[in-house]
Amino acid sequence: MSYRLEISPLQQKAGRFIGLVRDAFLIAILDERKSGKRITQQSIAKKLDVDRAAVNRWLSGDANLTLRTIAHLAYAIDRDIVFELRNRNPKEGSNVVTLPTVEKSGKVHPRKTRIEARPLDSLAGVL
Amino acid sequence: MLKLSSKDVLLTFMATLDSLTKQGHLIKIEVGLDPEILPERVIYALPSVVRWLKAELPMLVAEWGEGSQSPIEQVDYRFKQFIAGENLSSWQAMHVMRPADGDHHIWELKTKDVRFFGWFYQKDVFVIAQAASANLVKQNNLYPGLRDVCVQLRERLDLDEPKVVVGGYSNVVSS
Repeated sequence: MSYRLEISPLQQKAGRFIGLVRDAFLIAILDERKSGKRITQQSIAKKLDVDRAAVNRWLSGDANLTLRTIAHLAYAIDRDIVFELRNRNPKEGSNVVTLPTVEKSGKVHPRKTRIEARPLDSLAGVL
Repeated sequence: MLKLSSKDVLLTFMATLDSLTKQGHLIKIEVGLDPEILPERVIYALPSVVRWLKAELPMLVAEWGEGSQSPIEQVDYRFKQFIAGENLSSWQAMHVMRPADGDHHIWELKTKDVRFFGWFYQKDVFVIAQAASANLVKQNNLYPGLRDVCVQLRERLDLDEPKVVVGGYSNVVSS
């Protein structure tokens, strides 16, 4: 007997995206600390001229992260933001290939990497 | 004398879980994973926990309202992380309950608004015995009581010995 949480695909999409973004900040901050930078909630707050409590709410999940807040936090920890909308159902023979990546632990992790070669004029109206 | 390999021992463990699942004493928790992600860990829950997931969890409201993850979204995300084998070593995600050096070996798997309590039957196999809203647990200091109930439920459950993995994070999960 098994049970699958009764959550709509829409809720799941939203919840996992919010979790992913928040975790990305926590991981980035930990990485920066490991590399010797003294990043604290206080230092982020000072850089953004906000209360430390506000930073705490953003990072702990107590408050909604707006796009502007995400950008501000990325600025405060000196990280670039990469945003991509991937095609969930790439057609056979399309320009998406699967490349395995090897993590530091030696664990092989399959990951999709997009390789695109589009003529420049196809970007007309997009940029 | 019959010699058992580690594989035989593992199969014996799984047979116990399988039989308890078939009898309805345990229920395997499943989540949707992307096609390229393979499950690396397993969650089982007692039927009372699944009843709570069905009836109570959808009614919970996020403490900080719209915009942040709702409690059911938090749980889906945490279960997905656990089953996909992601790192959950932070105190905010999962930790052994206090006193950490006690002989209860009960773990708390947590989200912002939800708390799960249970134990590792074997490495990467977590059995949830209790679930509650974080508010309820914190406001009434239910931690010691929930921990002790989990121990009692583990004792009652007809699992093969040893019923619990002891130790810290690296002892209970592979990654």
